[in-house]
This record gives sequence, structure tokens and C-alpha cells, in this order.
Amino acid sequence: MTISKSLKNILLIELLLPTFLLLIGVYHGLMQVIYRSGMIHSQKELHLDYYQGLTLHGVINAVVLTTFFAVAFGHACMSFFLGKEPGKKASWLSLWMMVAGTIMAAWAMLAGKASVLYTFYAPLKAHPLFYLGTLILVVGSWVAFFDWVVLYKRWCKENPGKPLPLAILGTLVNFTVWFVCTLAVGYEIIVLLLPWSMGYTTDINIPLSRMLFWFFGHALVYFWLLPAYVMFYTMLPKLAGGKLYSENAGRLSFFLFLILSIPVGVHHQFSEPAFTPSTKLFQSILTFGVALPSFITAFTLAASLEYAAWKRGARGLFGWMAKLPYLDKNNGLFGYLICGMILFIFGGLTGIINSSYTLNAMVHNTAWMPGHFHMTVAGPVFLAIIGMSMHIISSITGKEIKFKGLYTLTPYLWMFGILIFSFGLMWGGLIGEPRRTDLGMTYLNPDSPLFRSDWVKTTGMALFGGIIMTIAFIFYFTSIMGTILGKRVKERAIEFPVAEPLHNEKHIAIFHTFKPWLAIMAVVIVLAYTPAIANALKNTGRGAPPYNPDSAIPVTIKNELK
Amino acid sequence: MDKIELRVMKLTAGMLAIFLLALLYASYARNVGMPACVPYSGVFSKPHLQQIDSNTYEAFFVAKMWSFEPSDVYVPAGSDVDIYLTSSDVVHGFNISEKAVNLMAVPGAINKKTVHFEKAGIYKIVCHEYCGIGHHSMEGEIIVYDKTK
Amino acid sequence: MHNDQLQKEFKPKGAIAFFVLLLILCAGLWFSLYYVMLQKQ
Repeated sequence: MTISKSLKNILLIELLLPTFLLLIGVYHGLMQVIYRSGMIHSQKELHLDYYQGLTLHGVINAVVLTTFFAVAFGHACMSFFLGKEPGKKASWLSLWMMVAGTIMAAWAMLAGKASVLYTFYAPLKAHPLFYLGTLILVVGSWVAFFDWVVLYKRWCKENPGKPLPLAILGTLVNFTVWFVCTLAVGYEIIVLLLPWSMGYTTDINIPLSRMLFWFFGHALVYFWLLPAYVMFYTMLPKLAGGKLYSENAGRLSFFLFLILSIPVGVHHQFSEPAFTPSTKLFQSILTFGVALPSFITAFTLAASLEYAAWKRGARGLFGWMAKLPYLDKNNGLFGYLICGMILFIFGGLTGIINSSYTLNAMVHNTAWMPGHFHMTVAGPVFLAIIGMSMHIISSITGKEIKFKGLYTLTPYLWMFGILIFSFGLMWGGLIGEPRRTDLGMTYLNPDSPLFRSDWVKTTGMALFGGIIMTIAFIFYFTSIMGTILGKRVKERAIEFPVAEPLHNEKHIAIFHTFKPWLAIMAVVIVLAYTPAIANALKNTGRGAPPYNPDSAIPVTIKNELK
Repeated sequence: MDKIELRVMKLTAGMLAIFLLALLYASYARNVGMPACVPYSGVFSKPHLQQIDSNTYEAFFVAKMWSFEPSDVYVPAGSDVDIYLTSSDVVHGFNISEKAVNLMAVPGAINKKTVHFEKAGIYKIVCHEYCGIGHHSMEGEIIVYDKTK
Repeated sequence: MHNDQLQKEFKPKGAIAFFVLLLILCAGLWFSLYYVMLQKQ
């Protein structure tokens, strides 16, 4: 369907701005594997410090790219599946807020005033504009969401009794989770961090600040993932040449994500004091619950793909796996989604290990963790984002995808790189290699007394994988630049491949209403977080003043002004 | 949702239930526990090692930018060591990979874990949480020596 | 017509096999870490 010029421009900015920022994000990804492998023994290269680069890598790739994309993809889904364009004022306001927030945070990071990593763990202190910028970026994404809710209500009134398109259900669930979880980080920023970083308060409760961060931080990973799930359910079966095996499975999965995405954040804090073992065990069990929708999805999508391959003549238990359009140049998006799903098998299974209560002590904060989450956020999430960005850009500009060979090859090369990279990191983690550490300075420096020869081969593997990933990104970047610089050859319009359901499914009333699910969501969050908040308040003996990363002496405003 | 999908959900739930039982078994029968929740007190901010009886020690660690205090601790093989951990400035990590002691040092809160050191050797403590520009050189040691030698 | 018949006949046997293998892989990975945990005590 055709879209207005205004929406086209919004989508182009929202998709291309993070694509250009990825140049910085990917560069720092590559630099990290180089530093970590001990190829260079320095803290700073080209005026950028290791930890500053790590902050840039995390914030750009995991927060800016994902939020911009989720909003752009949401706009596109609303327009296409509901036939209603988002309001012009709201969507521009949303965009400008996100851009302004990004510029503020980017300035703080590039100026070296916010080298606190994307988790901004207090009492390390960043420049107030870093916190504020992040917050404005988030609130900008809310504005788009509020506007969609209006569209959704209007659509419901105009289409009584019609089932809500699955893609819209997924998008609304995703942004509901996002809205609720960002309230916690918003509270952390406005009430705790901002006054403290500006010198109005002297100290803050650290366990509480960490708990608020992870209330947001784990739901964040589903906010990354659900746009990819929308594509898996509503588009992948069509791209494979088949139909969706069960639409109700998709509805159930999205609603389970709605109720279980948030009350699981304490599983990031199993190694911490202040929280009691029972608080931790309860959230560990809830995390097992949130694995369920992903297992349902794995089966339903396998069945959908099997059906597609069956239609192409595949038979036998595993014959279907070979008969899918893997390297079809005119169906490049399929490769992005399927490679993402393959990576998510490993990303998901290692995630269950991480959330398993005492088992977490094997892996917490070791190199295992980035090994795990690069198979989720840099797997299905990243591949779905870049593949879909290309698809949307090509259709709304009416331009043919250029360098189709490179574009088609990218996800396979990326998957190969990630598998080597993550295997190296996870193995390293199990033999004690820490994450978020400039290993080249000490542990991977043969001249240092801290040198660890057993980490040479694992960091070397991560380096090898990281180089392959960088090459894959260069392929993608070449192709998208070629595309936007090319000539318009077709109508400008938003088109999505839409998968029909395979069966005429039973109408299950509870899968068509948000209300009961929202009520359960509220109850579970209260049950899970009341003890956690009580623990953080009761077991914390003193607050902490702010520190700059380069000094063991707390920051006072007098020192800052000098 | 057809019969197969319901079965898929049941199978998954069954597997996760087995995982949970295995974790509870490890916790109760094999003494694999979570860090204990200790109320805050100023006592824990003085780094020292204390012998309780012939094979039990209490080690009070304070993590700070960018070292552990005490930075090396000597205990005989066969000891049980109660590790108490806090931080005097920012958040730090405390990882003894060989013994799966994986703790966070958080200012204002006290972490505790009991470890049994059966074999003699040098057990490295690595700070595995980013704590500022000196993070990569923050480490300590627990040296477990052989009593008979 | 041919497609309709195909649609009715289709049973996701391959997907079931895949799913069983997925659970086995999951349990295998999980219990190998569990074993490491008991070894490290």
C-alpha cells in the first residue's frame, strides 16, 4: 500500500540514522576483540578508550538501533496491517525526541564523560546529559506507542468482531512491556541518578538502583526480540513458500511474553548481596516460564517451515531442512530470519542455563555472557533488524536492492562469525575469563604478572569470529548504500510478505482481549518485585556517593567545578 | 492450538521441572547454595582473616578501586572459608572460577559464601565487574597450602 | 485441489522430531553445566 511522503521520511530517518551509527558500533565491536585477544596492549587507540568504546558499542547497538527500529517497524506495521497511518504530529514529535536524546547521550559518550557502560551501574557516575538523553530517547518511543493505541482503538470500533492482526498484537504487546519496564528505569534516572549526578543528593541506595535497572534491563531483551518474533510468525512462513502452522500459538506466545517479560529481572542479580535466596528462586522459576513461549515458537515455526518444504516436495523426517530457499537472491530476507532462528537455538538454550538459580554462578559476568547474548541480540534481533530495514527502505523508496549477492550472503557469514565468536567467549567464560575487561593490558599481556596463557586460544577464537562478523557487516553496508543511491524503479509503497494460517482455527476468546492478560501482568509483577524492593531497602546499610571511573575519591560538586 | 502443540508445551514444562528439581537437589543435598543474605554492619569494612577453629576461617574482603583487601589470604588445605565481601567505593566482582565462587561486591551491602578448599594451590580472584580505568588489573589470591609439608 | 489435499494430509512429523532433538540438546547442555557445577564445589 502507498504511504504519505511524511511517513516515508520518518521511516527513512529512523532506519538510516542507526545504520550509520552502526559504523561506530561495529568498529568498537571489532576493536574489543582486538584489545581482548592481546593483539594490542593499550587502553586507548585513536583517542578512544577501551571502556568508552565498550559504552558506545553497547548503547548504539543495543539501545539506539533497537529502539529506532522498533518504532519504525511499528509505524510500518500499523500502516500496513491496520491500513491506518500514524498521526503526523505524534510521529514527528516521537522522532525528534529520539534524535535529540541520542545526540545528548552520544555527546556525553564521545566526550568521554560517560564511560560507565550501557548498564550505567552506579556509583560510577556519568554526565547528567547521558542519563537525560537516554530518558528522552525512551520517552520519544512512548509517544509513538500512545499514538498507535489511538489507532488500535479506532480500528476496533470500525471492525467489530474482526480478529486483530497478529503483527499488531505483537507490536502492542511489545510496547506495553516496554512502557511498563521503562517506568522503572525512568524512576531510577529521575529520582536517583539525575539529582545525585548533579550534586543535589549525596548518596543513593545501590542495590535498589540495580534492581530498578534490571526491572527494565531484562524486559529490554524481549523488546529487542519481539519485532523479530512478529516477522517469524507473520512473514517467515510466506517467505519460505508456506503458511503459518498455528496462529493461536503466536497469540498465546505474545500474551505469555506480556505477563512474564518483566518479573524476571532479579535473575541478573543472583550473585549479589541484599536479595534473599527465596526472592531469587521465585524469579528464577518465572524465568523458566518465559522460556515456554520461545519453545512453542520453535515448534510452530519448524512446522510452518516443514509445510513449506513439503509443498516443494521434501519428504522424510529431516528432508524439509534442506529444501528451503536459503540462498535465493530474490528472497534475501528469508536468510536473515532463518539464520537468526538458528542462532537463537543456542542463544535461548544458554539463556536457560544463565537463569537457572545456582547454575548462574558458573557463568555470571564471565565472557560466557557476551557469548550468550550475541546469539540473541546480535543473532535473531540484529539480523531481523538489518534484513527488514533493507526490505522497508527498498519498498518505500521504490528502489531495487543493489549488490544482491552480498546482501544475500551477509546473514550466513554473520551467523558463521557469531558461532565462532560466541564459542570462544563461552569457553573462555567457563575457564574464568571476565567480560567487560581490557584483557590486552594485563591478562593477555605476556609481560604482565597477571598473564593467563589459558585464555590465549579462547580470545583468539573470539577475534577470528569478530573479524568475520565485521566483514559481513561491510557486505551489508555496501549493499544498503548502493540501494539508497540507486534509481527509483517501482512504485513507492510498504509491502510485507504476509503468511496466512494453515488451518481454519478455533476462535479462542481469551486470545482476543488484552484486559485479563494486563491484570495478570500487574499481579505477577507485584508478587515478584515486592520482596525484591523490601530486600533492597532493608538490607542496604549505607548509600554511595558518585565516583568518576578514573579516581577512587568520590566526586564532590566542588571537585567537578574545578 | 492442536493436540501436538499442547504436547509440546507439556514436554517443555516437564523438562523445566526436571531442571528445577535438579537445582533443589543440589541446593539441599549437595550444599550448592546462593550467596547468603547478611545484614549490613560496619564490622565488614575492616579487611582481615580470622581463624574460627582448626579448619574453619572467616575472610573479610573489601573490594576497592582497584584491589582486594586482603590481597592474598593463606589457608591450609581442607579448610572451610566463610567469605564476607563488601565494597568501599563502586561495584566490583569477585570470581574464583575453579571453585565457582561468583560474587558481587556492592557498596552498602554484605555478600557471603562458604567455600571448601580441599586441594592445595593458588586460587586467583578476578574482578569481573567493570569498576573504572584500573579494572583489568584488579585481582587477588587465596593460597591454599599443604599442612603436611 | 492438489494443494488442499496436501494441506489436509500434512502432519508436522519433521517438526516433532526437530523439537525432540531440541529438548535433548537443551537437557544435554544444561546438565553438562550442572556437572561442572558439582565438580567445582
